[in-house]
Amino acid sequence: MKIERNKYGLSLIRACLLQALILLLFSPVVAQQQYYFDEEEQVPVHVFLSPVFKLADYESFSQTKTTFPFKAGYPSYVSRHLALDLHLKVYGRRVNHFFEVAGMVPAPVASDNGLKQDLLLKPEGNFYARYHASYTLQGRLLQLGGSTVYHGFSAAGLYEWRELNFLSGKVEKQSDIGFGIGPAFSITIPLGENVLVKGEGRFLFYLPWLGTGRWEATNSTEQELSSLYSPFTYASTVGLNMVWPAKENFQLIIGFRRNGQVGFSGASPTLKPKELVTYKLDRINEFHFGFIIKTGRQ
Amino acid sequence: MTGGKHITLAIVMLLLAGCTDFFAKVEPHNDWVVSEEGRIILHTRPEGFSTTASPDPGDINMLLDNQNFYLQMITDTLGLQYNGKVLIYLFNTDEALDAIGTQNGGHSMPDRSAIFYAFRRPAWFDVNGRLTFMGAHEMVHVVTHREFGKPFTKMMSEGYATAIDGAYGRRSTSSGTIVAKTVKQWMIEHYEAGQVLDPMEMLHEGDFPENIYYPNAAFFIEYLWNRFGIETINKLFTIPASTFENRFRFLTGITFQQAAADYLLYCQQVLN
Repeated sequence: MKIERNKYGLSLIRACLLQALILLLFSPVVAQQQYYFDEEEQVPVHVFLSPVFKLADYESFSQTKTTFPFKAGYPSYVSRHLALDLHLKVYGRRVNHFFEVAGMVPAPVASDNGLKQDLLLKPEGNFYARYHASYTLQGRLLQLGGSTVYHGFSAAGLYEWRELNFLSGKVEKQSDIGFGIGPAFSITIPLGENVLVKGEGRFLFYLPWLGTGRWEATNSTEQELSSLYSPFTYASTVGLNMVWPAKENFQLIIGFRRNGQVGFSGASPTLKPKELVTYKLDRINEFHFGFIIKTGRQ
Repeated sequence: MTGGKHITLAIVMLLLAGCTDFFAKVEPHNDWVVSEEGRIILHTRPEGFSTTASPDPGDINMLLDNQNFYLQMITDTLGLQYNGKVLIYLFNTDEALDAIGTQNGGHSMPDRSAIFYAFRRPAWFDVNGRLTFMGAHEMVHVVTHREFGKPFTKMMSEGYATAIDGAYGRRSTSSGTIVAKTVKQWMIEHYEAGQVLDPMEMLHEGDFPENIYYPNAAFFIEYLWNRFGIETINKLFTIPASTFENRFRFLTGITFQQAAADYLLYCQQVLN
């Protein structure tokens, strides 16, 4: 099948425009107008900037059971990434805004047959990369002693790219961009006088109408094969962090986060595709370390 | 318990239930014996792994030999040069239902060059007279998907797999031997029961039971191969149903409706 480049280009533009529109609608400008500027008194706003360094283990599993509840197994594709996140957090009196830009730069991929043996891929030429930007709006749900529970929603854009070179000589490339939206929760628990434990959970639905992707491959006779697809996935992120105030405006953060993403991609944007192109049973475990800088107070 | 604690508990449960593990649990499945021959890498359970039998060395040799034979048969039939390896994961009968969703058969993941299958005794005789534990069906999916691309119609995907395997399911002979039930045997029964499917229905994936749909699709694909040649029909493998009829006319010179009508007449002649 020939690549329909114009069609792909239009899908990409359509997805990007919709994402931009939705992000704009939920942007902090709108939120601030709703939650801050209608206050009679001046609301103090704390702004924090935190670079976070991560060691991230990516694993993309095979779907061994195709009926619910699904089962994920081997062979899988695995990669280990050094990654960097940038977080911008704005803590207001009534709501908080979190912006996150995260990048897992391309890292080598290997396959795992379940026994840590790579039986499918060439030693070189296999890469996976992931870039993601998100915005979370949260308000206080309840206070229990010193602990605070927040709830709200999160919206994110995600771009992923994977290239695999098989021992057979076949090359397979897959890239997609998608937009997800869903609920978010977090809890902060003071541990002693200085240390703070923060738990977080985000649950995003990446809708097929707001995403597009392209699968490309070559076969044994070097023929090019390709398909466009519309990914429909569900992603969950749960994490636990510990925060130490090293100085007045400087905190250290260390933690663990688990990202899971499951779903499928049809040839056309629908929740129940007849023409399935790809599926996703991915998991990323992250250990991270970073610092938080308080950059301003209004 | 206070209202606040109820809400906290509800949130914690929501966090746990919301994880993707709730929808798709990862099974380590890392207790395997790996055997390799030719282009087949077979993963079987070690002896004593579960309460049902694991394949013994004789079974493993038979499986490797058969699957290499099928792989060669598929590439020869379709005129392909597939040179990749295929990973087969054979689950014991008692774990298979939970692990792969069936105790009779299995499924393939062509993206990963992998087949997941239930190991179940006794072996049966395939259409080539080979004693086997698993046929060629899933291997056809792996090879065709990887060589042609993503199949967008069930008719082509399952039609090819069943036609090359030559059978769907098994039957017992009068002597008690278990043999593959051939496509032709199924179609004779379906003809008598008025269950020969119109290709138009098959193209648009009517909701038919597998034992009706698979042999019907295979019989039609065989007809197309014989009439127009395998190379021509291979070009239709990745065509979506929405554009299939136009592409069919372009490649064969006749409309799909004409071919469907001719096929139904052919069925009357050979199945009557």
